[in-house]
Order: sequence, then C-alpha cells, then structure tokens
Amino acid sequence: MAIILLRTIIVFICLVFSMRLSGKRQLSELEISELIIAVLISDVASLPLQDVGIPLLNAIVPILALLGCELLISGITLKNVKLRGLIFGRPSVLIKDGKIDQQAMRKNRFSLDELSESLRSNNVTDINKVRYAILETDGDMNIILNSEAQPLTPESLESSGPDCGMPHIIINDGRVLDNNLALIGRDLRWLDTELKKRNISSSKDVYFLSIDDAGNIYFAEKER
Amino acid sequence: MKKELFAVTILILLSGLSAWNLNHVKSLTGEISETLKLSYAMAEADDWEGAAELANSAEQKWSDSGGYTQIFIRHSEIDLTTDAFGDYFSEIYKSDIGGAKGALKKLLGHLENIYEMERITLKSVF
Repeated sequence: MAIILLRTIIVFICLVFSMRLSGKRQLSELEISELIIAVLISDVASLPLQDVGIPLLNAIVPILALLGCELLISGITLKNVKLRGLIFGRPSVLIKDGKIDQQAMRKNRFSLDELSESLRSNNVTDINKVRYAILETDGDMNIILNSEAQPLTPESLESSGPDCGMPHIIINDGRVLDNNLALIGRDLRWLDTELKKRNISSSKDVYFLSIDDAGNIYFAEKER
Repeated sequence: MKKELFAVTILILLSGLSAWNLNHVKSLTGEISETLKLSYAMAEADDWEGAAELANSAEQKWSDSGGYTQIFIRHSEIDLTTDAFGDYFSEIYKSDIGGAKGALKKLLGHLENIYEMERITLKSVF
C-alpha cells in the first residue's frame, strides 16, 4: 500500500510538472494535439498506479516524451503558419451574411442540429441576423451579428457608425498574411504606407495589425 | 525558444536512455545466457558440480542486476525468469539431463524475451 501511495505522489508530481510546462492553454479549450496528449497522459499515468508490477518508468517516460512532443509542436506551430494550419486546421466560416455555407458544413461534418444548438447557446434565433458564424479550430463556435442586431452600447446610441464587419489579420507576429491582404483588396504598397504612418519601417517590427471592413486598423508594435 | 530547446533536450535524453537500456539488457541477458549454456555443456559432460557452479554464477548475475531489472523490466517477466532459474537448478541437482535441457530452453527463452521486448523491431513496436 505504501508503494502505491508513493507511486501516486511521484506520478502526480510528474503530471503537475508536465501540465505546468505545457502552459495555460492546456487548461482551456484544447487544440487537437493538446487533446490527444491530455488524454494519453492521463491514461498512461494511471497504469503503474493500478499495477505495481509495471515499472514506474513505464509511466514517466511516456509522460516526458509526450510533454517533449507537445512543447515542440506548439513551439514550431507558433512560428510556422502553414504547419499550424496543417496540424490545427483553420477556422471555417459556416454562416456569412445570413447565408449558411453548406459546403463548409459538409466539410466540417457539422449538422444543422449542431448549428442550431450553437446559435441558440449564443442567443441567436434568426440566422438572417448573423453576419458571420465561425467554427474555430478548438470546436468552439463564434457568432458575429449584423450591426443592427448587436446589443446596444452607449456609443451606438449616440451615433450609428458604419458596420465594421470582421477584422482581417494582416500582420501576425511580424509575418504578412498575403492572402488576407488580397482578400481586402490591398497590396504591400498600401501596407508600407500604413506602417510608415506609424513610424514603422518593417512589418517584422509589428506584432499585430488587423483591418475591419470599415477600414479601422488595429495596430500593435512588437515590444523590444 | 527555451521551451523548445528543453523539449528537444528531453527527447534526446530519453532516446539516449533507451539506447543505453537496450545495450545493457542485451549485454546482461547475453552474458547470463552464455554462462547457462556453459553450465549445460558441463552437465552434458556429466560434471554436475561444475554445471551447478556455473548455474549459480548465472543466477548471481541475475540477482545482482535486481536494481536495474526492477526499474526497467516488467515484474511479471522478472518473476517468470526467476522461476525458470529455479526449475533449471532443480534439474541440475537431480542430475537429470533431459529435464535440464527442457528447463534450460525455457530459461533461455525468457531471457531472450526480455531482450526482444526492448529491441526495436516491427514485431515489438506493433
């Protein structure tokens, strides 16, 4: 019994250590690889606790190996957008301007029942009022309503501004997303002009830049 | 970057440990098997005392590796091998060559199994 107790404590310390190193993301919504690792680690860790005939290394080695893989993948995908798309997938727009994208629904094997449930959980009863419904890579559904359907804010009471639509990310951690730039009908010359306005010489110095449909730019310079 | 380096270090260390373990288990089971084969050869030559002495030496090597085996090898495998040693000793002390042959085959089988389980082959991986 003492052996089981000691093994439990050792495995617990290993798990806390590995979860701590994995970071806060593991505690919130999980991406695919994170979910796999969380499930595997919990399964593997319990084996030597159930059977003292199994060496403790049979739990510790897999935990450390999975931790190593998880840290590597998350580190590499942070820097490589293409690989991130390959491993984690990309968000899918299921509803745009009140119209359901049936191809996107089929591609994501997302049923109408599930869509209705997600809309209801976001207090949306009329699909026509939905500007965008986006299925994120962690399985979460985010809804952006048309401006007239959005909750009132003090700002909107005083003035009815233009419909800002969805923000498009143009620069992500120093990398220019050419696809998004083309999507909003702009080019690199326009981008250079905008950066110069903000006293920035290179896109590599920009942490985040997005522009919405109304032309409002959100800009954050990289911290030195 | 630090976390990635840490991850790579962990994976390299684990790979190194695995390689060392494979080498060690091969050497250990190999040595013990050779000693047991010599023991049986002596038994075949009717030198039962010599056979018992060599068998004891093999068993001693196995016991002395208890610290390693308990940490790296499944305990069920350790128990089976220890039992197989007992069977072999029993036949040697009875001076039963037929029984000793069978017991030796079983014991060598267990030792080889321990090594095969660690070896990277399609069979062991899948």
